[in-house]
Amino acid sequence: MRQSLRYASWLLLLFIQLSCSHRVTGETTALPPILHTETQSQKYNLQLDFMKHHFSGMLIVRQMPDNEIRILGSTYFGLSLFDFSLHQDAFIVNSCIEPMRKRKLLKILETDFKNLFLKSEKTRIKKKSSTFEQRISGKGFGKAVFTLSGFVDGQTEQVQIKHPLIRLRIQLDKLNINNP
Amino acid sequence: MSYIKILLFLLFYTVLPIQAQQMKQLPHLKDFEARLLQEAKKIKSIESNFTQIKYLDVFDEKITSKGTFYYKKNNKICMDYAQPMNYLIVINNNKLKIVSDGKKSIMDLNSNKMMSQMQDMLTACMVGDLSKMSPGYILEYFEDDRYYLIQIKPVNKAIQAYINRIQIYLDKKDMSVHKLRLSETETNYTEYEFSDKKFNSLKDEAKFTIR
Repeated sequence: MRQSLRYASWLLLLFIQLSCSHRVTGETTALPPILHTETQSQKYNLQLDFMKHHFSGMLIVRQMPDNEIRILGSTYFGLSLFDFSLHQDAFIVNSCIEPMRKRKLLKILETDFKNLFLKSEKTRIKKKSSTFEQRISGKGFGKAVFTLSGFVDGQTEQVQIKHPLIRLRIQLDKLNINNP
Repeated sequence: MSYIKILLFLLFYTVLPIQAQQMKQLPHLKDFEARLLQEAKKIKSIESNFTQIKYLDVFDEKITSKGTFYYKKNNKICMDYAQPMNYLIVINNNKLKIVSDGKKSIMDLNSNKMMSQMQDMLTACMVGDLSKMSPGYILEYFEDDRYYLIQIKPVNKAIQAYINRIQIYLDKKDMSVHKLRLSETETNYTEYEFSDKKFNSLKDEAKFTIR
């Protein structure tokens, strides 16, 4: 009995060591960003459906110097909605219209934009083919399902983000607009 | 060194404001207002093309959109975007309809005082009928050979959060709006330029239906 307990404790110790060493050496494979940013602005048609409400606008994203990713949101009429920065892992709200300045909403957008534009260790691939990919991150109210489609040269041009428990759906479709 | 400082001072405080304005203050406001009112009375409807340019200072980039603009007396506006994608905004009295991605959303502007004021102001600016504007704006008037410029600054802090300044350029030929610039901050703006204007040609109200 004592011997089997000692054996079990060794096994437990070995398991803990292996788990820790796995984390320390960083062998967890981080998934690449869903959307790749460039030094030229990338523009997307942004659709937001929350419960029965539908909203549409333009998302403009650009890789800035010093590893900053700048994310601007605007209505098609021209009104600016938000101006965010992703700097390493920091999310900075440069400006945001009052109705959107809600802590929970900003937190959702922060998580979604980090998953879209940065490498992610907390997201896993659920399904994948040459034309379709589904990633899942978070749990409970924070759960988000990313569906990637419309692949061109290996890059997705259509991303749908569903937050099932809060009935929020965000859709991004790449706009091919030539800069004047 | 002091010579450079004086030059810089002169550049920033004399030359630059003149360049920004490039127009002189309007001397006879009564004549101008009378003509504006007289021309506004003649207009029952407007149909024109528009080019919208949104300037993003952080990227030093302009984003261009195009579409057709419709106006019908009173307080009915429709902006039908064709580029970069189909998008429709209709304002009919106190209701706002937006159609995008095949989905429609309707908002009652009366339910929000600020939205209602913004609607008054935008309607007034797009058709150049300033008599429809709610109080609470500081107006300045300028002119050059071809255009009148009305510069509008909101006093209301809530509106200032969205609009820092509006500049309306009226064509001296017919007092119609040639260009409208909405500045959200000192450096970010959206500009609408109207072309191929047709007056009083709209026969029905189908464009402005909100259902």
